[in-house]
Amino acid sequence: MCVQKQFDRNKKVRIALLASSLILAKALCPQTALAQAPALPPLPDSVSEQARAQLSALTGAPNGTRLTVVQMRAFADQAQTAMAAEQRKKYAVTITEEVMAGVPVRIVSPSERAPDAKRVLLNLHGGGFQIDSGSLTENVPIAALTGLRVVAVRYRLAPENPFPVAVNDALAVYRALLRTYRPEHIAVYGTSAGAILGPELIARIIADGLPVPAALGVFSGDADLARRGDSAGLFPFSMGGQDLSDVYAAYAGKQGLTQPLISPIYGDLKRFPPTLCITSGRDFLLSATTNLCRKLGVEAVQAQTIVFDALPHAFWSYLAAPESDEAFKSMAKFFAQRLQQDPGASARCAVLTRAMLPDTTITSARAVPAGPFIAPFMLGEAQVPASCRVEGRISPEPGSDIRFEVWMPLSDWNGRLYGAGNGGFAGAISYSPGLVEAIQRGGAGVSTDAGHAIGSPAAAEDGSWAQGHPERIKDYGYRAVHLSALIAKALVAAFYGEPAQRAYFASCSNGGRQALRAHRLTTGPGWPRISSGTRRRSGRPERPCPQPTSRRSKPRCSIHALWAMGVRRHSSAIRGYASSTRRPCCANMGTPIPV
Amino acid sequence: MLCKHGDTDSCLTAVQVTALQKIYAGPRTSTGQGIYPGFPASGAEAGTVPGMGWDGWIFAPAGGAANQTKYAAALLAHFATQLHTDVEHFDFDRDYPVFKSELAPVLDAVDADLSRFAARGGKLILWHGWADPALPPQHTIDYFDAVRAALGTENAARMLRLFMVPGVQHCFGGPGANSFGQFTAPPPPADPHADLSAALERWVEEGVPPDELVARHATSPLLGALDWRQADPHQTRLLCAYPKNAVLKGKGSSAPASSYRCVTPARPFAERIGR
Repeated sequence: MCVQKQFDRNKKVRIALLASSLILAKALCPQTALAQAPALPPLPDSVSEQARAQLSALTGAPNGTRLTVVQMRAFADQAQTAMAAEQRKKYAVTITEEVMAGVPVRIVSPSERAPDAKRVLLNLHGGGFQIDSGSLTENVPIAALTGLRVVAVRYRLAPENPFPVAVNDALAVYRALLRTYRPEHIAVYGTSAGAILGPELIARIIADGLPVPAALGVFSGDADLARRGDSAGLFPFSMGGQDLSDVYAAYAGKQGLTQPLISPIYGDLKRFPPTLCITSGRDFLLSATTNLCRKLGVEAVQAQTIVFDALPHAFWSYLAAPESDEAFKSMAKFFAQRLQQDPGASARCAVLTRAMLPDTTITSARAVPAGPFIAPFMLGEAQVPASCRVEGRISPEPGSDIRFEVWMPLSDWNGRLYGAGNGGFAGAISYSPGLVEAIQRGGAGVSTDAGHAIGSPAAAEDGSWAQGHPERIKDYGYRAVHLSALIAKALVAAFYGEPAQRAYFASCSNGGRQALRAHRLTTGPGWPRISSGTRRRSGRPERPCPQPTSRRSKPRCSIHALWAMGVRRHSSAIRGYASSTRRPCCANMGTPIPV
Repeated sequence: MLCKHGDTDSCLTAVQVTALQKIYAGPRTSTGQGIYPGFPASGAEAGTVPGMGWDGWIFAPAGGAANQTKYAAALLAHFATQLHTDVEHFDFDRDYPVFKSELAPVLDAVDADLSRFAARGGKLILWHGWADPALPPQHTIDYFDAVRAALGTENAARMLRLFMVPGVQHCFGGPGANSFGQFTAPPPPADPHADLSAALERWVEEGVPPDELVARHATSPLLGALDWRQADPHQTRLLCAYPKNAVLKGKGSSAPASSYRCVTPARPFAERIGR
């Protein structure tokens, strides 16, 4: 971490942050080696005031005293504990000290919800291989943001334990995790030295023939210890009197710096997992970090790089600033996507089974990870992103049984709802074209079987389901599409916490007939007025619980109420709704979704 | 085309000519009043996939019934409760009014008053393949005209477009440019110039109406309709918002979309083909 810091040549700006780590920063950052560094301009206006204030709090000549490793470790513990205490005011976590496969680990768990039982993160902390400067501060926000348990490996440190001891310790913990977790449910990440150990661990996993984890986070890291990038010259590093070469030499011991298990950039990167690189404009590892992700991209590995302008090395682990929050959010989002996990999505999806909607039974609501999907009537298997899939039945009158499904992508929802109709005499939910393409495009999707089921495409012209069932003919004629659109809008609002901004319907043949039949119902009088087809109306209903004006006010009331629920789940709107249930039009609706 | 020297594969018998005329004319009452449009000559009656052209929809395959007959039979047998007849005996003078009065209120989608939908900013894109053997293309044109009459041409132009697509059959397939995002848009990046679904989104969200579209031909009709990027980028045609037609800028017969431009015809295509 930030045991090194950089300053501008005028020594106006100096390191890091938090009150108590000031001491550490001063102690660990000598002014030697600054002589040949070029002058830096003042921090640009885009840097937040918080970051600016903390960076300039450390003005004055730094303490260039050489420190022993023992002194540095003591300072780091003190600084990290203080920083983590600040973080924990914002990010609720519990921390335990355990031993895994003989290696001490620090486990950071979210405390406001049950940690995801299937997925886990493995952290390798920073600190120049010689101290632990981040097993707390790099992980507290991540555990809270992702809802995942973070296992921080407290690997044995250099210089007493040179390469490959730290990697061995990390590998032992990874092997232990593999006994509980599937590799596609594990992500590895680290900051600074930890973002050197991360790529090394992956190279070792591949060399040992173990399954590769789902993702790698390289946050101000390096995979080429033999060469110095441009940024290392621009922003000189120093830790307790050691420069970068000293630190790398102490870590490598007698091993050559170009061997691929130490510097993976010299090895085969093709089997590396999708990687997120984060660095910053005044990071001495800016070059090294971006070089790695660039090379991964060349090798066709999915690699994304985020660079924060102007900020110093590994700033998120010691600056209490909006930029740090943003960095942690980017990390968390990456892990959620790669591990196919959306914080709380499973729970938010599952709770939809308890949605109270008019004439509707939700039979299933579950979060389904990304993967192949196949159903009858489809051309072939389709790859779909992770989604919340709700199945249910609507029965507006006795004998009526409209089956529907609503699919909602767990992440990166584009704010749209896509409806898909049915050709011919219908009789099956339209998966493709339909729900599959909706979520592939990032939208929510809805489709019905139009109120009856047929067994095979060969039965497409079989109308015997209509015999003696006028209610099914009505469902086929217009009700299924209309009612499912209303239900889908309510479910979307409840799941995402905001209504769909746009609703579209595309279908052919009988599906075109459905569209031209349904638009009148959706926009006409006597039916719930819910934003549909088109432009967004106001974000929330004008009247969450209208006075009864007709026999139809029941569905209007309840759907609007549920919608309000989705919009402002934890707000007074819910209490308002609860109290409004005394009004006649809502009396039998209950509380739509317990939250 | 009437056979002059006996029945051969290159001519039609008098009975066949009469049948064709009836298919072109559509169902009519005994006094000749039209009930529903017929199916026009498209040059693509045979289609590209067996059973998807007139062969499956209009002409009965050996030992079976045409799809048109199957749907009509099912409606008569299972939907209509006030009629007791079948396809063979259906009388357009006597039975059609009964049939219509019972089922039209539940099934028909012919209401042309889109004013409420329009007032909420709704946009509607219709398309129809000229070689559709299942639903007559003229019926969609009639609906388009009815909406324009109901809302006024200018109001309708703000929210309605129709694309009539030559050589395309029912929903997908056919020898024409059969792939233009008609079912759904593929995952991003979206291309509103090639993709009807993306064009609708751009119209709704950015206010840019689709007046032209470059459609492609797909050898696999269903795959092409699901994802236009699977279609052949070298076989393209320009689709023009009705009533405009794609007209060759220079000379030639199998040029790409870029060789065409959209022109308002002196007479609508439907008129020129005799409707």
